[in-house]
Parts: sequence; C-alpha cells; structure tokens
Amino acid sequence: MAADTPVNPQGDHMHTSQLDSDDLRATAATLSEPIAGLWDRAPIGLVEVDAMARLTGANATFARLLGLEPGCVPGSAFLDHIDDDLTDEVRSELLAVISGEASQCHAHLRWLRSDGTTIWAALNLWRLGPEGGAAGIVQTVDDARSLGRQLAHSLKMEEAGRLAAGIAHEVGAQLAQSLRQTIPLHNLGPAGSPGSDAATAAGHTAETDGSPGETFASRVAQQLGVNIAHAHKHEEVGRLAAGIAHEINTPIQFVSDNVHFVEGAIRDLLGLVGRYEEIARTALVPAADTATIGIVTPVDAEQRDQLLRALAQAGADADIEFLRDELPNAISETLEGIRRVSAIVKAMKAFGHPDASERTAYDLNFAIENTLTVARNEIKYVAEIETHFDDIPPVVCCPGDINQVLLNILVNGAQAIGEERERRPAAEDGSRGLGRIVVTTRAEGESVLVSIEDNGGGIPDHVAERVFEPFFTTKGVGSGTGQGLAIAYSLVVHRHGGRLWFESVPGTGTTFFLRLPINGPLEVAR
Amino acid sequence: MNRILFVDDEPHVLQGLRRLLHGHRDTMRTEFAVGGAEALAAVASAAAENEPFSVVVTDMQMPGIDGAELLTRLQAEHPATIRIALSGHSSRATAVRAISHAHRFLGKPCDPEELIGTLENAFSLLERFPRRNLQMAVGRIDVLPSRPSSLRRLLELSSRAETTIDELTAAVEGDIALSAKVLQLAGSGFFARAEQAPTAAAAVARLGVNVVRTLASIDGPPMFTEAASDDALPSPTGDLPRDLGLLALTVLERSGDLVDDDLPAPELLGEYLLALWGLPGSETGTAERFGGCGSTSRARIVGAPC
Repeated sequence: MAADTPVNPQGDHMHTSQLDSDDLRATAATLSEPIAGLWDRAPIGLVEVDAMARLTGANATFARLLGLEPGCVPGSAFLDHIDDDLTDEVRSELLAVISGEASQCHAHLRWLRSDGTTIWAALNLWRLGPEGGAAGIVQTVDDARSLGRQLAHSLKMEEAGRLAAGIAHEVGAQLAQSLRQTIPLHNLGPAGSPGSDAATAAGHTAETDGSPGETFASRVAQQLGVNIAHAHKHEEVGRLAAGIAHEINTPIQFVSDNVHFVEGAIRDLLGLVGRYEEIARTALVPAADTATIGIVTPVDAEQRDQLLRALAQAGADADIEFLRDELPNAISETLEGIRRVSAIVKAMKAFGHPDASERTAYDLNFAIENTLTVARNEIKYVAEIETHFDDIPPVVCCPGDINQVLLNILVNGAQAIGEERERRPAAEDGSRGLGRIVVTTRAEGESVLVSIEDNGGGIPDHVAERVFEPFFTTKGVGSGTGQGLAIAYSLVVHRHGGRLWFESVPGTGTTFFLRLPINGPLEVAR
Repeated sequence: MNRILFVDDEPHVLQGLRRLLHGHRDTMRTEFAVGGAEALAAVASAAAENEPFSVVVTDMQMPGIDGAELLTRLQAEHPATIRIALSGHSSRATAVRAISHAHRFLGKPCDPEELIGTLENAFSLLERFPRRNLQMAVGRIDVLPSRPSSLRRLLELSSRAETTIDELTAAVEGDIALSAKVLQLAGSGFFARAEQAPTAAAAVARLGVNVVRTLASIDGPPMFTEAASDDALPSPTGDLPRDLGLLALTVLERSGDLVDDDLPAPELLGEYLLALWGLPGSETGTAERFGGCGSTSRARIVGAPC
C-alpha cells in the first residue's frame, strides 16, 4: 500500500507493507459469514464467488459501488454485474479462476449499476481452492487514491511514517478487538505458526488465546492498521502541504509584482532626475568670478515656457503622478507579503519541529496558534476563527501528537461547516457566508482544557457513538479515510492519559473538548 | 485596445498586477475584480458596452463563486473570451480541474515575462483569427471526444501498479484528444519545468506515470468523453495540428454553431487550438499559412486576402 515499509515500533520483522495473496485467500475463506464491522467498512469492495460463478457474498462498499441494496446480492450470477462488452479473453480468464483452473487474475472492468449506468473498477480475483470458488477485491481508482497511494508514492515525506508507526498499535489493537468479536474463529485459516508473534505485536490481549483464527485476525488487523494510519498521514501531510504552498504562493506573487514595479519605477525616477539635471544645466550658468555657482541666468518669457514644458514632459514620461501615489503602497504591501510568508514559515517550523516526538513542556496556546496558521488554507474559505486564550501552564506531552490532534479536530470542524454551507442555498453573489470556529483554553486544576467549537451541522445521534471509530466517515468516497478522529482519540487517551469528547446539537454545531494532564506520563504508553 | 480582467480574492495580488502592468498601458487595458461575483458583473457590463474582455485571468480558489465556476460561466456566456487560470494551489487536482475550464494555466508565483508573454500571445491569436463566430464556436468546445478503446486502455493501465511509461505513451498516442490533453497539462504552469513538451511521448515522460494514470480519476468535470465508437473519430496520423483540427471539426459539425461555409480548414483549426492552449507548433506554422495563399476556405476563415 504505502511505498515505504512502515516501521514497527517493536522492530517486528513480520509486517510487510502488503498483505500477500495467502492472507487474502485466508481472509476470503471467512467471507461467507456475515461479518459486521471491518468487512462492511473496509474502504474497498470485497466479493466472494462460488464455483458456479454465483455471487455468494459482497460487502457494503461493493453494494454501494453498484448502487445495490445491501443483502440483495447473494445468489446472483457474478458476470451479470459486469457489462457485457467483456472480451472473450477476459471472460475466460475470470472463469478460469472461478472454476479453480487458474490461481488469480486481474482485470479492469465496466460494472453495471442498478440505475443503468456503468462504472469502471479494477477486479483482483483469487481462487479459493482447486475445487473452485473465488474471492475478489473491487476497487475504483478513486478508492485507491483515497487510501493515499499516490501521495505515498509522490510525497517522499520521511516524517509521514513516524506518527503512523507510533499509533498503528492503537488502531491495530482496536481492529483486532472488533475482528475478534465478529469473526467466527473456526473459519479462520491458516493454522498459524507465525501468528503468535504478530498477535503479540498487534494487541496486548491476543496472546491469551492461542487460537489460529485469533492470531490471524490480529495479524490482518495490525497490518491494516499500519497501512491505513500510514495512508492517512500521507494524505493529510499532502493536503496540508498543498494548502501551505497556496498560502505562500499568493504573497510571493504580489511581492514579486510589486518589486518588479519598484524596479521599473526607480529606473524611471533616475531617468527623470537625469532630465531635470539637463534642464537645470540649460537654465543655469556658472558665475564667472565667484565661488558661487548656480546663478540663474535671466530668461525671457519664451525661454521660461520652454523650460516648463520640458519639465512637464519629463514628468509625464515617467508618469510621476502614478509613481507618487503607488510607490509607498507598493513598498508597504511588499513588506506585508514578506511578513506573511515569514509567519507561515515560522509556524511550520514549530509545527513540524524535529523534537516534536519527544515529551516536553508545551504551551498549548502556542500550539493552537501554529496549527491555525498551518491550516489556514483549510479553514479560511469556510470559517472565521476566534480564540480565547487563558493564561495556562505548559503541558507535558509530545508536541507532534498534540499538533496532530488539534489539526484533526480543527480540520474536521472546518469540514463540518463547509458541508453545512453546501446544504444552504448561496446568496445572490454566490457567497454562503462564513461559519465560525471558537477555540478556548482554560486551566482546570491539574489539567488544561481546550474546547474547539464549530457552528457546522452538528453530529446526528446515530453517528455520535461512532465518531471515534476507525474507518468511520460520513464523507464521500475519496475525501477521507475516516481515521482523523480515531487517531486523535488514540493519541489523547492512550498516549497522554487525557480525555477527548464532544457535545453536539444537530443543526447548531459541535464542540470538541480536549483535556490533558499538566504533568502527563513521561513514558509513552504502548 | 484589448481589455483584460484580472480576478482574485486577494486585493494585494490585484494591486501588484495593476502596478506591474502599468508600464504596458499602451497595449492593454487592465481591469480588476475582487472575487467571482464582481467579475461576472464586470464581464456582463463589458459585453453590454459592446467592448467585451479579450482575456480573463482568474485565481481558482476563492470564496463564493470560485475560479472553476467563473470559468464555466464564461465559457457558456462569453465563449470568445480567452480564459486563463492563475492559481497558487499546487495540487494536481486543481491544475487538472483548471485545465478543463481554462485555455491556459499559470502557477503563482508567475514571472512577469511569462504573464506578459501569455497575454501578448492571446492578443496576437485574436488578431490572427479575428472571426468572432469561430472564436465563439471553438470557445464552446468543452471536451474533445476520445476513442472508447483508448480510454479503456488508459483506465486499464491506470489500475495496474506495474504500468510503464512506454505503455502509457502508446495508449495516449493512439488517441488525438488524449494526446492534446496530456500536452496541455504538461505545458501548464503547474507542471512545466522550463519549456513545452514537443510530443505526446515527451509530455507523458514529463508528467510521469502516476499523473497520467490518475488523469481519468480527477474529481470534477470529465476530462474525457467517449465517442460512440472508434470509427466515429479520425485516426491519429502524427500531424497533430491537422489531426486535432479534424477531431474538433467533428464536434463543430455536430454542434451546428458554424454553418458549413464557415468551417475552417482542419490544419488551421488545429493550429488555432494549439495556440489557444499555448502549445508549440502553432506560432510559426500559422503565420506561414496566413502569409501564403491556402485553399479558399482557409482564406475565408482568417480573413486574409488571397
């Protein structure tokens, strides 16, 4: 999935960056059982086909892709879901896998949707055994993109893996937990010698039960956790980088235009000075017999008019009026642009500080200021920011983690406002008005409380209990991995012994609360 | 004199441009709008005065009516106006989205030479192709159709991890619209290094496998449309201006925007499109064609005496 192999904090050698086909086959062996959780929430379509080429199972993502009602799939002919312009070659490749003759195939297919339209998506199909039957992954290019693959390839951000490695445990452990509850153990292969290592790495409770199913579930979950956290970080860093570039490029544009203007203006002014000198020379004659020079020769009216015309012409050529009006502003706007660029560069330095992964006493007001500057481009088109900073003591924490948490919550709030605005009709001039995000800090005994309030659409009750679940997202395919708040929760609660919760009134807005102990644990909890 | 409208939500950017272009006031009349809504009002009143803008240069990310919406409305309501995006957003998706609405994409920060050169090219293009109905008909063309087999091949390649530059190049070169789009993208302000890519193969190499692979999957308006069948479109011969012209003619004929007598010769139409997109092979070629005596239809289009 990601280009670089995720670093496991315990140096475990087992975790390759891809699940191999054995893993997938083994996973597929469980697919006919109704698995809640992971199965349906996986951000890719998953299908199971029996040896008679009947679709015996499909997850919600697949159903959504084809616009089908979840649950109406089983029993239908698999090839009926594919457009009939399939070439004979591809058709026989698919059937060879389904009948057990070939081990796997890959094809890009046009799928039929229930509304009569078609959609392109890639199919990876693996045979389940020599007697036939197959399991497949169905993925659109968008899906792949949303998992951050492209970014992982193109943005070689070393920093990206760091956080992913640190929290993969948490995400993996949570996934393992959910798998353990849902996967029927008897159905999990392969009887696993290597499983126990992985289980140890994945979750603290996994080793208490040595069942192969359990260890395999842990292994899959751990790997998925690593991959997804990694993809999320890449995606976020990439988006943030694009926003920061925009924030820098805009002032650089006007700084550059103004400086070019000033360059030309100086040339014109120096030319004008030259012309004035010339005119002055014709009007002045050196005094013959004294040290004084510059005595004006008496001129007649005609000569005077001529000189005045020459002066006026020189001024007009240089457009002196325009320069007089514009030069001071050109300089002050240039300085303003430079100030803006320096501010964002300073904030970036503080945000991605090299020591950000070590625990230090950290000023949360400073952290919020920096995060707001770095995320300005994500927020400014949808919301105004208001900050109320109390005089708070520094908090012992990992600055990098806390920056990440603040960023996730702020961006989430901005997105909530953005979505709410989309629902409202635009005003006549196309504007939708700005929402508001209010950030407040307060000292509370031995802890500091940060509240981040948005006036977006609020979180509906049926969503509220799932907000911190991994993979849970209300956004469309391609706009998020559904990991932001799950990661934030894990960082605050598991790594810092803090609390993260929210209050929400649907239609009015949401307030997230983050409470961190001032003297948090110095040891990073694993 | 050519009227230009600059649009940005950041007044400082407009002020900078105003000062920068003050020295060129003899050749262009610059006007400025803060945001999309103000721009639409300015464009409408310019059209009402019967002195429409020759060129509109707009930022992409703006509150309210953004660059993409403004460009879309310009295309529908004032198709003859040359549309240029000037964006500081460096994501590929923004560049690709902008390209599907704008003739040219310039990245912020943009050198004065590049900006002024682009504007001067636009003016000389309008001078060389003064026929208003041609400008409008061509300006309305949204997406040139592609061969179904080529699109299918591109999508197939886009989903494979091991796709090579050669495979992609072959797929792109097999389709005129794809070749043109890739060239346009490679020459855009976001991707351009120094100079234009001379061929589709060079453009694919410059953009890289990942960008070309994701072309088909960018959010927003479709980058490509599928023709009814491969046979409905001309086959690429390697002469891009002519191929492109033949392809665009199939769209113009169907749209009925131009009567038969007004339809340009394919080479000329291709040259016009390439010049509009700031692509090579357009400058000298067209000038020569003008000077000499071409077919009657060619002369008619450019209005050049024969």
